[in-house]
Amino acid sequence: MPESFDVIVVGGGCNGTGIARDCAMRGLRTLLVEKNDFGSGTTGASSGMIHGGPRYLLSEVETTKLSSRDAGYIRKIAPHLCFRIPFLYPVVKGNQPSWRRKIRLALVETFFQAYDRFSALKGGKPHTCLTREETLSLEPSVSPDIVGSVTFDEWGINTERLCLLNALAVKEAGGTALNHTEVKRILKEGNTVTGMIVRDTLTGEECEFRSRVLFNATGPWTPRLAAMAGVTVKLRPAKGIHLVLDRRITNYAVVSQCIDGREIFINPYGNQTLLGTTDDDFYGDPDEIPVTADEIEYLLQGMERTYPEIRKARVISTTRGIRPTLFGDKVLEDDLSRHHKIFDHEKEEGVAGFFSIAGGKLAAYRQMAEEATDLICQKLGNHDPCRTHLAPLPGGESTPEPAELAERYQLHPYAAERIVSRHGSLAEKVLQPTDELPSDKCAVCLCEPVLACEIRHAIGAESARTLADLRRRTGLGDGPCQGAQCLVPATGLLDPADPIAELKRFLEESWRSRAPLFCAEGTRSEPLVAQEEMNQMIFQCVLELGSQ
Amino acid sequence: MRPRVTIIGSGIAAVATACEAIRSGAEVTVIRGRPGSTALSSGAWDIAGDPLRFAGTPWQEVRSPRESLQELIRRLPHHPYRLLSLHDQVGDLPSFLSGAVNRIARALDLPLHGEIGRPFLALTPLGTVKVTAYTLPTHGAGNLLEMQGARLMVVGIQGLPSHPAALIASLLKKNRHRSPSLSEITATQIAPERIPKTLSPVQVAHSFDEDEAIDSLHKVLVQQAEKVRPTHVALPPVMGIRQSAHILSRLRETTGIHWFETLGLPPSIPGIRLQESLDRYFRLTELREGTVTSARMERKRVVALHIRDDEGRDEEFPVDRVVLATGKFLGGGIAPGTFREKIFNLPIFHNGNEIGARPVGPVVSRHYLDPHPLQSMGLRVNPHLQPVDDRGHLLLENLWAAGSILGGYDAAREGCGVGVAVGTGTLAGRLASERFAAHA
Amino acid sequence: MLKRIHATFYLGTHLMIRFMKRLAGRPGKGAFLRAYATERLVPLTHEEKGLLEKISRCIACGLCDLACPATVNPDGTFPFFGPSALPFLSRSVPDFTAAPFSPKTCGECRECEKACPEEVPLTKIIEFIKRKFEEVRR
Repeated sequence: MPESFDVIVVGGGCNGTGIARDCAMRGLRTLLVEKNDFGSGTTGASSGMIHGGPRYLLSEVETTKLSSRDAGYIRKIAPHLCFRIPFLYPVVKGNQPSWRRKIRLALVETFFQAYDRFSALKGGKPHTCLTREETLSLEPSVSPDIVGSVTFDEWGINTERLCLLNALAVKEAGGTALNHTEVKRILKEGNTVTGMIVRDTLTGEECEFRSRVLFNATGPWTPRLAAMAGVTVKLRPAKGIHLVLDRRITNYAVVSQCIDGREIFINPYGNQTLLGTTDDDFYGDPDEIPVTADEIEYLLQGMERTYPEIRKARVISTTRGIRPTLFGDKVLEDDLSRHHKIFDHEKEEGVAGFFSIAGGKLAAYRQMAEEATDLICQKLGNHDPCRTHLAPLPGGESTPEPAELAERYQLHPYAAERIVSRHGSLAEKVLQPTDELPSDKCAVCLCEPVLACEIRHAIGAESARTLADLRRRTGLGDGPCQGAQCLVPATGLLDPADPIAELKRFLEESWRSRAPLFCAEGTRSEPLVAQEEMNQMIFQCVLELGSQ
Repeated sequence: MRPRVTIIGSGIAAVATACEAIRSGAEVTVIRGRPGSTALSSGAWDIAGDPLRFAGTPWQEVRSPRESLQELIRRLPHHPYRLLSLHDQVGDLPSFLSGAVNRIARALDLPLHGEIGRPFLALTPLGTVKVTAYTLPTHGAGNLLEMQGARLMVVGIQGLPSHPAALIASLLKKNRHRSPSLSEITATQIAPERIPKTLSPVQVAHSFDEDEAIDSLHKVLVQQAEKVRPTHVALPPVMGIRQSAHILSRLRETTGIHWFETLGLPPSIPGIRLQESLDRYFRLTELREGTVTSARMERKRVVALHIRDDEGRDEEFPVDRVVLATGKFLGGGIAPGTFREKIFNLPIFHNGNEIGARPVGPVVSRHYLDPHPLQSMGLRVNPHLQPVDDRGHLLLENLWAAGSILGGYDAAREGCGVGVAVGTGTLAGRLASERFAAHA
Repeated sequence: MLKRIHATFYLGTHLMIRFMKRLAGRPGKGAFLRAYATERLVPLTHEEKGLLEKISRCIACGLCDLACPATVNPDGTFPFFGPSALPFLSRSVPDFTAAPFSPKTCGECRECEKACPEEVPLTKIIEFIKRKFEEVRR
């Protein structure tokens, strides 16, 4: 007898996990399935920020208001995942006359002054306007060829853990959340979707589930899943990449303009800095997103305008994602609205029990999820109110003092900081087993750092089933060493069914993000190739993975 | 007047060059810069890995280094082994290499295990099996080919996740069908008293250089051995930095069991032990510490090297004959932006084509475990190991090259790192020391 | 279309507000520093940036640990992780909340720097972290 649910949500990104959480919290019997890992798709490849959408002040003020308000909610329910990022918007003089650029500076200041009101909705600090000297004293790497700068405030967030925590919240509320579970077939009775057959991609096991509502929240894969149900969703997918720098090179995000006028920025993200992003129509397979040398050069050149020393930073990896933008014809990518749409396929094509969602932005995910859940509840006759903006995500109840934890557990304070930033009030739960087993305080990943007890927690309580899952939850293997130090011990702790295959799979996946850096002169640095030579020695020469 | 040979580098290729140059009667100076891949090596000395081996090959059917050498020469036209095998000073390449390895081992006072006619199947800290030729002393008792009917115990240390004993044992068990030689494989964990609470492999190894820690370790290991009664024991490669020989021989004497370390991964204790023996040897030559940043050339001859020391001071060092053994990227031999050799600005090649700053094809492959041009690019040399340009013309009359600065081979995938370093180093050392070292 | 007009009008209003606010003064660097004081986001100087570039060369090979004579901290308090941890402990400035090292453990012998294949200035990192920690604390 196949298990039956009120609602099945397919897709483990911010939308999917957000919708599943809301449904579960409102008392619906909920199942969430994700073919890879929570947050492994577009959400994990984003800029790592829940920003208030300032650019929409130019076209639709209401969007900015909603975005900012929702960003405020997200911050409230997961304060430990968020970190404040002051943004610096320098206005470059260039070869234009000073007075023109000063006018531009005044306009930019006006813009962010207008934004202050909305920024306050998310606890943002008000803007300031800095002279050239003041800017350079705060951030000496900014180009001296500026007339001044404006600062504003945004929140950075650990996007992969955001999705994970939503998924864990589904479980807490009595639902089920499965990663590495792919939809093989959608079952219909006449014109009604009644369920699906899924396959565990790691074990190969297949299973059938029944649903009253099946919700398609698969991001760039939305059209694919929709086709399985016999309906059409048309998207205009847009690729965006980032360069990942090995450390925080600044404490402030810095905005620049590329050669085509697009704005890009560097922003601190955990222990790293992200530089991005691009926005290009994408016609390929969302499972195979290439990064070209031209894109890398585009970003580096663009950033040089306000941050001339950007090429001195060490690039360790890239992120690649596809935005599931709603279809819009004959417009440039950037001008497409970040609107979202929920497709009720019963109304659209007469296929009942099936919904899709597309478009939107990360910062508005909770709002989108609320809308989607309202619709689902309407269909199913549930009247519980939405509480996702009130109830904290797991670990979000309070944020412990890292120094106190470090003292109590005899940890390095930096390691304590990182654990708190990932686990919040659950940090105690992660560390408590080390009272019995103090050797579990050893660092498995030195770059982050990640302690053995945290890895055990990820495996035991956070559904980590692969090395890449561990990477998303803890940052293991994501740092400058790209797995040189930590992969063998991590494999030992994970104890997968086929350790060699698992290790190879991780190496291939992380290689995809790293290989483009070797083909662009701007990123082909000495540490990059020396690191690679050493890593090839470890995995090819000593461990002989190529002939296992 | 003895010829004066200056060697730039301090790894295996440099020691091979130095050994042979001294043997040939030259005065040798070694300019020791930063450590490179030798200091990070695992303890295995690769001559030629079996290129025809695949996942299912039974252990007994793995080809010996002698046979694999012939395979490599056959398949890879730009391989330094081919160049060596054709040189009249070399003769039979396997004998040449094994002779050189033995001489170097004697000079370093390092009793290697293994032989060129038989593969050495060494156990890695993951539980995979590496095919090599020789190993450093602490791994010597661990040739899986010699463990007929053995009962193997794999030891892990509590809090040292880099040597996951359970995983190693389980992977070996999975592969046991490939050779029925091991009759039993168990994994155990020990928690010796006197080691630090938060462990790093290096801290553990350091601590095992102290007498009290060694005693405690010895006690705990013997206890485990008495419980399990193995014939062979695989230990994590952290058995002291200086005291490893003492620790293992004492265990052998007490129990009669064969104790060995698995291979080392960075931070590799076996690698640093090797580098220390190399450094001891180099101190017997004239040794300069510093990085060579550039050179002064006059009319196709290297006249002097510019050496920068630790404090940043520059010195001009006049030279007679120079052997370049600076490594690829780890030792700082090649500049990755422009793909040119750093000191003399020599061109770098792959598959016979010069690379330059705008490589025509990709320098890396799509799949991680595929061969990458990045790993096999390097200098192009004439049959006398002297760097040439894209038309094969000699660039500098008194310059030779050895080791991974040379192109044409992929040390990791072909399992020939030490072999090429020793072979090219020995030949270069000999050629650079010849009384009238003039080659067209 | 209507929304765009509204947005333009909205921004236009703010332009006037700005002119008026400016008469009272400009929120500048002082306001910025006060606003972000609790975030522990202290500026990095040009020299420090240069140092960070050199620290970024680390490839996590561990050769520095092997050269370091300051082995184990027997009293168990904040054990010295060894120089190999230094490049990674300096990746994120806001996360320095406590003095990271018992000053006894590093003797500044610089053996680690000599052993480093990538020429990372390891002893300078300790100074850097300590200095930043002081700034963050203030």
